[in-house]
Amino acid sequence: MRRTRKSEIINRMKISFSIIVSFLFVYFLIFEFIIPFPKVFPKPGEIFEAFPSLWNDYRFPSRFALTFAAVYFSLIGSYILIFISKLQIIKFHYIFPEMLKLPNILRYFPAFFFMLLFAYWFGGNSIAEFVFGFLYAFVILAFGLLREIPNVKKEYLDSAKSLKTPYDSLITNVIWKYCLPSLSKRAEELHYGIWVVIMIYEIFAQENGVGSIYFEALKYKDLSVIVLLGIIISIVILLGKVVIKHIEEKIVYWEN
Amino acid sequence: MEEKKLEIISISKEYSDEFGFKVKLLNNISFEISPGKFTGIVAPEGSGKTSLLKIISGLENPTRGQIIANRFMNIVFIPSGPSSFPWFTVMENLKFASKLDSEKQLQEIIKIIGLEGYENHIPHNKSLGFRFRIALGRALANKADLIVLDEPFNEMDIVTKEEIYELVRKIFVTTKIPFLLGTTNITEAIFLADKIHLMKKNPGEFIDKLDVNLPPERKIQLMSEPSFNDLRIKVENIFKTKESYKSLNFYI
Repeated sequence: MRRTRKSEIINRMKISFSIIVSFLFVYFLIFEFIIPFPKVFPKPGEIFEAFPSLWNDYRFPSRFALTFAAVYFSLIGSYILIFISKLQIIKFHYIFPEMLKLPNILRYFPAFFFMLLFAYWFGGNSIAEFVFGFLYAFVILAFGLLREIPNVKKEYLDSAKSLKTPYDSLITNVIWKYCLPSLSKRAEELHYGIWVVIMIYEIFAQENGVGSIYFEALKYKDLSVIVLLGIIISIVILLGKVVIKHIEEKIVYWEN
Repeated sequence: MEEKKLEIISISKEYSDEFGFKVKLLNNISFEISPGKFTGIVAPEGSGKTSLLKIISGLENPTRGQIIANRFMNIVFIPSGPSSFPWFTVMENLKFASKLDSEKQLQEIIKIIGLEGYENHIPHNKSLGFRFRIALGRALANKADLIVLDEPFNEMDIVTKEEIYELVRKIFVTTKIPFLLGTTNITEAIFLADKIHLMKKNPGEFIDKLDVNLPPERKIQLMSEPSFNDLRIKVENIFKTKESYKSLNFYI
């Protein structure tokens, strides 16, 4: 079963990789040779030439490092905090089950709204960016956990209670373990979401990170840099996804 | 020392339906679980069997009635779906429930349930029979005074069912731990139990009982013997007089 899951993931990766390579090939063919003066997309040659400018003029290494750190600090940090506080979160759910209605209310105030507020309060402050990313990831994961609790199979709960399992052990060894596969799936989805959220935040704040490169490239109408940055970020997200999948395979090796 | 005994006295269970009307699920059920006996309850689906078993296991409360034990009894409930935890290995599942002092004793239980060599396997991709064996092992490791089975064989294929029937009966004979089985399957109840209570639905009430006078050690071939068949016909005839007959599962 485990091997099947692993080969499924490898197959999916192979398909994604082939799609990207085919897309790049078609892109190269059309915009390098067929369309002589492309305005929608730059010539592939121009994209390669834009790399030194992105590296030096746009200060890519330091800005990318900041975004990268903010994304993975938020993701890993929130996951660790959920892990540490799982007992409290699950107990909290049983004390205030009404909490599950909160995401329905928050739906009308999307992350976009809070992003604007943070950018307004703290501007380009890097710590604020980290805090915002961390809070966003934590809220998504915590509500993911809370939503999964009512789905815990009655058979598991009944048999654990019947074996006179202490309450804390019931939470950590049964409820938490049951919720882990769905929480990992959510973390995987969150990985993409947090990249987008952090970059948009940086576009608003206009001072740091990959988002600010986008902002400046838009301002100077530098299409080659926008496309080049898009390609780099896609590759980084794809690699991040592979690493997360690999870690997930090691931690969550069962299906409920 | 006096043997542990459980008396179920006038248990009734009511609940309110979606329109707020009171529905009587169980009505005035009384019986006794004797030490060293395998008791079966045969009832049609929707008769409140699971609720009754959960009340006896302490997982639900009755509306009326009481359960009296002459001494403390550790009752372990095994539900109908797979209940062994897929995130633990076989050994970890047993350790999770264990009240035993040593790993050697757990190893002995693993031998009893027939999972020797599978200690480090995780059950998530294993058969229902495999997962039931773990649930049974956990009950033994938990030093159960009574094991309550709520239709655990329902989804198993026939070959696995027959293996598990023999295993359960063997464990009962060797350990002398009393079992209480709730089922819709008459054949299963006759093969496993020493005493069977027959229950109807709407509301759930006991309508009759009978003693199964078959040898303590039972092999699956017993099911094709005339004495076994006579008992089955007897139970069928009792149910035939009732409305609930059609919802019973006649597995041969």
